[in-house]
Amino acid sequence: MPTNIIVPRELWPRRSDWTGIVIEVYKEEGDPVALGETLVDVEIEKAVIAIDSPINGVVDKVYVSKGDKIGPNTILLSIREE
Amino acid sequence: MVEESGHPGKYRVHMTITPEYIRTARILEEHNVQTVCEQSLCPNITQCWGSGTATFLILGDICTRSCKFCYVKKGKPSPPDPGEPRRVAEAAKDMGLDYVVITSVTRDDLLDSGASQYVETIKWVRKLLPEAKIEVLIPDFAGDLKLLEKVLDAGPDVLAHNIETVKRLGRVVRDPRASYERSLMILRYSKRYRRDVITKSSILLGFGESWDEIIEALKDLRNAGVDVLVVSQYLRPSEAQIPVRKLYKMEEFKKIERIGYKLGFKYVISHPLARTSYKAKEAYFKARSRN
Repeated sequence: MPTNIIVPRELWPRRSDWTGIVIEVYKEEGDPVALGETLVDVEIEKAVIAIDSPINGVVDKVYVSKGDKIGPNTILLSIREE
Repeated sequence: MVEESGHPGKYRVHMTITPEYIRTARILEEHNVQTVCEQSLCPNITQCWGSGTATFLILGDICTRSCKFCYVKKGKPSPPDPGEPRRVAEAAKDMGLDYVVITSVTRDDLLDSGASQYVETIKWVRKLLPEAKIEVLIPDFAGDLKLLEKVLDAGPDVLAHNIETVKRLGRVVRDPRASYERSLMILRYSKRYRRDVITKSSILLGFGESWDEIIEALKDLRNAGVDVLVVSQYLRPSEAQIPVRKLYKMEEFKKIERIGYKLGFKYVISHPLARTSYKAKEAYFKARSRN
C-alpha cells in the first residue's frame, strides 16, 4: 500500500488558511526516493518550502504539478515504501 | 536549514514534521494556547517545535494595531481569558521547558493594555516551573511606565521590546500609535528600573532602509542599554502586507553582527530567519555570562 505524502495539517496548525503554489516537482512516477530527499518545492509568501520525503521508496503516483495551488492536507504524491 | 531559493525575495526552508514536532503541536492544542509561531507563519516552526520549544502568544490572537508587515489578525479582540495564564504555564510544564518565551498581541482596547495578563502568566509559570527562565516580548503599553513597572516587578529574566525598523520608516511600516522614540524609552526605562534584567530588541531589514539608518538604529538601541540585538530579514507573509524592498545577503548579516559586537551588545543574532525569540535561551545565557 503506497504512502500518501500530504502537506501536513500540523504545519502552522491554527493558521490553516495558508496556501502556496507548487513551483517544482522533483520526482516522476517510478523514480526512487531516499529518506530526506526533497520531493516538491512550494512557494508561500514568506519562503519556499521544501517538502522532504519521510521514507525510502519508489514514487507510485504524482498528484500535483507546477503551478498548482495547494494547502494543508493536499496530497502531493504517493510513495511505495521499500 | 535555509538556502537561497532562486525566487526573488524568498529563502528556501526545509520543513520536516518530526514526532517531537507533533508532540509540541498536540500539547499546545490540548491546552488551547496560542503561539506566535503559527500566527506569523514563521518559517522556523519545524525547527523550534521539533526541538520542543515555542513562543506563547497571550491575550488572544487578534491585535488592535495594524503594523503593515505583520500577519497577526487585526480587529476587535475578545476580553482577556482569565484561564489563559494557567494554561500557558501548564503547557510549558508539559513541554518540559526550562526557558519560556511569552509575547502578545497589542491590546489598546484594555485599560491596562494587557499588563496584568503578563503579570499573571509570569506568576503561573514561576509557580509551576520555578527553575525556568522567563522572557517576555512586550508591546509598548501605550507608553505607560507604571504598567511596564508592574511587568518588570513580576520578575521576568528578559524584557524584549522591538523597534522593528529604523527611525525614518517607523511611521511607514508600524501602526501610527507605535513610535521609534517610545520603543527606545521602554527599553531604556526597563534597564534603569531593573538593572539585572536582560533587555533585547529586534529590527527587521528589507523595508527600504539605508545602511547608515541601520547603524543609527543599532547605536540608538545600544545607547538605550539594550543587551541582546536581533537583526533579521522581513519576509512578506501575504499580499496584504507591504512588499520586500531588499533581500539581504548572508554576508551583510555577518557584517551587521560584527558591528553589533563592536557597539557593545552582549549578544547579537543577525540572520535572515532569526526572530526575536529565535534561540532565545542561548542568547540569554550568553548575554548573562557577559554581564
